[in-house]
Formats: sequence, C-alpha cells, structure tokens
Amino acid sequence: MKANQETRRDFLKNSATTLTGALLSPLTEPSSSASGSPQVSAPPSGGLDLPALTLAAAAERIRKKQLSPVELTQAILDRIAKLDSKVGAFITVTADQALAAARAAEQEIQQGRYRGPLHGIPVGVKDTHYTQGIRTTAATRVLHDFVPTFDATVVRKLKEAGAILIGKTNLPEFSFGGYTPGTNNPWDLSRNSAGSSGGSAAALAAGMLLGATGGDTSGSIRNPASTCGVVGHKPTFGLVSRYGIVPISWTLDHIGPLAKTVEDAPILLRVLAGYDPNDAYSARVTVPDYPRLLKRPVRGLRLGIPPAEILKDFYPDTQESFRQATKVLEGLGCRVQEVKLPPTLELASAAHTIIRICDAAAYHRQFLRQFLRTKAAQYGPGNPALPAVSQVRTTVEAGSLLTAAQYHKAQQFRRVYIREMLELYASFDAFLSPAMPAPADVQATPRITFRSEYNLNGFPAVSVPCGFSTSPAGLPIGLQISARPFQDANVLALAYAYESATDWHKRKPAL
Amino acid sequence: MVDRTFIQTLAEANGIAIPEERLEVVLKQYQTYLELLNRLDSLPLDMGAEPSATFALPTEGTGAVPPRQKR
Repeated sequence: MKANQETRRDFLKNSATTLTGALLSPLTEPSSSASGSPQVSAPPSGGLDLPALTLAAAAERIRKKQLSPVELTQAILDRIAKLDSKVGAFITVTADQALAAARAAEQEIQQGRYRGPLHGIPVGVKDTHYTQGIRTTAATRVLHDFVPTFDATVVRKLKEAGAILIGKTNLPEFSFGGYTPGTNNPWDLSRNSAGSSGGSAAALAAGMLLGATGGDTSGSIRNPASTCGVVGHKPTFGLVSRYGIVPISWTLDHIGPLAKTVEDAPILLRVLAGYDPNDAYSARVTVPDYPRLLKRPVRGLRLGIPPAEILKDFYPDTQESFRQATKVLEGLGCRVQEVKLPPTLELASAAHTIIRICDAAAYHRQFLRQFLRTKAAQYGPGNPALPAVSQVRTTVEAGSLLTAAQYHKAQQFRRVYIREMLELYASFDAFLSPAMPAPADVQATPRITFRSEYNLNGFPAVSVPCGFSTSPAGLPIGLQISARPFQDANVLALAYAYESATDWHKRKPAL
Repeated sequence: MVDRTFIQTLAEANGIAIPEERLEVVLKQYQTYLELLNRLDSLPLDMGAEPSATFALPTEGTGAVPPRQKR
C-alpha cells in the first residue's frame, strides 16, 4: 500500500497545468539533433506504409532525416485520392498548398532548422477553423463562399510548429449534431462516423491524416473518436483557444486534438494549448510538456466509475468493453471504485442545451434578422447532394425566443453543478465511463451519457479505443477518462497506460 | 398561451421573421426548451448561487499549482 501511495504521489506531482500571469513557455522545442545530421537525400522509406505511420513515428523519422516531408505529404494526398470518395472525410483538400509547405519544411530541416515534432507532419482541421485564403464553410450553405482573411489561433500555431495543412474536414451543418452527413465510418462504410468532428476522426482511422483537430460542444471530439476507433481529447475549457472558430456556444465549445494513438495526442496538445488574449475565456496557464508527462506509472491511482444502475442502459457490448477496460486498469495497479453521483448530473444536459442554444441564437442572429432574410433562407447543408432541410435554423430560431432570465437560470444551475463535480472529483484521481452509449448507428439511451456533462463543467476528457462490438460485429468502442480541471496530463497518462496494455489501437479498418 | 401566434409575436418583437410555414416546427422546438427549463426549476438551487458563464479557475482542490513567487 505504501508503495502504491508513493507512486500515486509521484504521478500527481508537477502534472497539473500551472496557473500564471507570466509569459508562457515557447510552443516549439529546439531540436537536439537538428544540426550535423545527414540530409534527406534518398529517403530510406521505400516499402514503408507511410499513411499507416503514427504521428510520433513519422516525427521521429523526419527528425532523424530518414523521412522526407514531401514524400509523406504526397503519400497522404495519394491515400486521400484513393479513399476519400468512399469515406467522405474532407470538404476541401489543399493539395498544392500542402506540397509547397512540405517542400519548405523539408528545406528547413535540411538546413538544420527543425522546429519540433509537428514539423513536416500532415494534419487536417475541422472546417469551422478559419484558414486564411482558404474557404471555411462550416458545412453550411450560409457560409459557402466565406474565405477568412486570417487563421484561427490553432491553425496559426500548427503552421508555426511546421505542420502541413492537408485540408478541411467534414462536419454537420454549423457543427450541430452527433451525425456527420456524408462521412462514412471506415470500419463499416454503411455506417456514419458520428460527429460533429466526424471528418477528422474518419480521416485518421482511414490513414488520410497523421493528426487532426476538432471541436467539442456536446461530445463532438470524443463521439467520433470513439466511433471511428481513434483518440479524441477534449481539453480543459480555456486551455486551447477558440479564436477564429465558427462557434456554437462561446462557453461550451472546446477545441482539441484527434490522433491515431494516445502517444500522438499530447504532441498536438503541446502546440495547440496556451493563453490567447483573443479568446475571452482563455486561461492564463503555463503549458506543461505533455509528451514528457505521458509515460508515468499509474499504480495506486484511485479511479471512480458510474453506478451499475447507470451503466445498465448502455449498449451491452459497450458495457462489456467498459468492464474489461476497468479490469485492465486494475491490473496496472489502479483502484477502481463505484461512486455515488450528485443529483445535478442528471440535469446537466438540460442546462447544457439551454446555454448552447441561447449562445448559438446570439451568434446566428446576424443571419436571422429580418433584413437578412435572404441569408436565413440559405440554411441547409453545404453539400448540395444532401437534402436542404436545416434543423440548425429551427434550433436557433426557437432559441432566439428564450429570455435572458431563462438563460441565467441555466447558468445558475451550472455554477452549482460545477461545485458539486469539483467536490465529487476530490475523492478520486480520474473518472472512467464509456465514451459513447453505443457503437456507430446503434441506439442506447442511458439517463446520463457523460458527454455534454463535461462541456458544462469544462473538465478534461479523453476517449481511447477499448474494444469492438460483437453484434453488430467489428465496430469500435471507446473508454472515456476524465479528471479535474487542467489535469489534462493525467488523463492522457492514464489513457497511455491503458493503451500500452492493450492492442486495440493497432487494429486498422480494411479499406 | 404558447401557440403559433405567440411564436410569431415573440419573434417579431425580437427582430426575427419566422415564415408562416415554419411556425409549427419552431413552436415544437420552443416547447422542448420550456420542458427542459421546467426540469431545471424542479431542483432547488442554493439561494446564493450566482450565474457563471464558466467556472473560475480554481487554485486549490484541482491539483493546479499556483504561480511561482518572484524572487
């Protein structure tokens, strides 16, 4: 027991984000081997399946000048050309710009100016992210011709880190909903990828990206990550800037990474995170070295799980995968204990909905006002192949009719809910739950789904693959790990320990 | 009474024009929101609880470390 406690203490030490008003640490790390190494000439990557590489594996090869960013980018573009007609992950593919950026990255690396582990890595961003000079549609006809004049903060950070922007990924209209029209699940193309960051998750699962970003207002990073068998991390609210992102809700939207493996996610988060004065809710925090904090022993950690009476309404295969996942973590020395949930948790999704639609109505007012009726008439999916019916318009029109008092009622509830959740989370180090009630396009309706509840409280949560369904067969299932605010490093370390003890992340869809 | 006329009047007062053919679907959506608010009203809240757009960054109890003091 004493040994366990010491390990737990070590784990928790220095792992949390540091609150500060001081200058932030640099976003990119100097390379320790940037100079004096052999140049990329004839890349020894012949025979290597480049799109199948993880971000970490590709970065290591690029750092050692064993892999050309141009070759990698071309391999990804070839993969997209081959598969995206079946998967439908992208709204826009920026092939020419990507190859130009890859050539520039390669030249910089050859000249000894390696920027860090994203240098030369092909990534995609959700089509809500402003991209300077590149159309940003949010998958709606309302914005079909919108070309931003600046990059979203996260896009700028990715570019500064040397990442190669491959394209803009698909989503439902304005990110509303957990279903991404037009994006098929790589594990079963007859099923959906879930959403709303469905294009990012499907592209990763299909080997069409090495890293991606998404937005999560009600579970929209974690849902498709779970459904497509990849990793999705919703960071603590305020940790990653929302500036330059087409919003749903200013106080519920979270931007975060999606990745093939847990090892890849903190590489992205390290670049994405950090204070941004342009985001009204950005937190003044020093960004920890997430990749360095990843590989820590988890023995002795206390993990809470939901009561059986809540879990029983999840899909049977999901319940079973979740049970097995908790056993794996117990096998790693964690102590798993069922916890009593506060009554506010069951009402959290109601408060979340009121806040979400009121915020959304305020944003959409610019399109709905009388003198812009022509704009209002344009609501509908950006993809002309889809029916021009817009649930978004109905949602925001009805949301426009709620009063400020009703909005503040939900915000008042939120204050009490967050206090209760902080008290609850003081009794354990992390909380486990299924990431989704059921696999892709399978129905299950538990009273608490553990999705929008984490947007209302802003706590960090990651979805990591934890199994596959048996009926229907072969659909990915995700485990969600959450913790107190700014303990993102801890949820990722736990997820990594779990991933390292299992092989779910090594399975690939047959495409 | 919450009906189509009510929706139309409320929308016009808010500067939004909802076409006649859309009133019914917006009415139904609005009623679902009222039901959610009724659920929230069913839980008595601490009288001192002030609305908060988001949580304040806690320095205690979350594991977050306070900023270092300048020497």
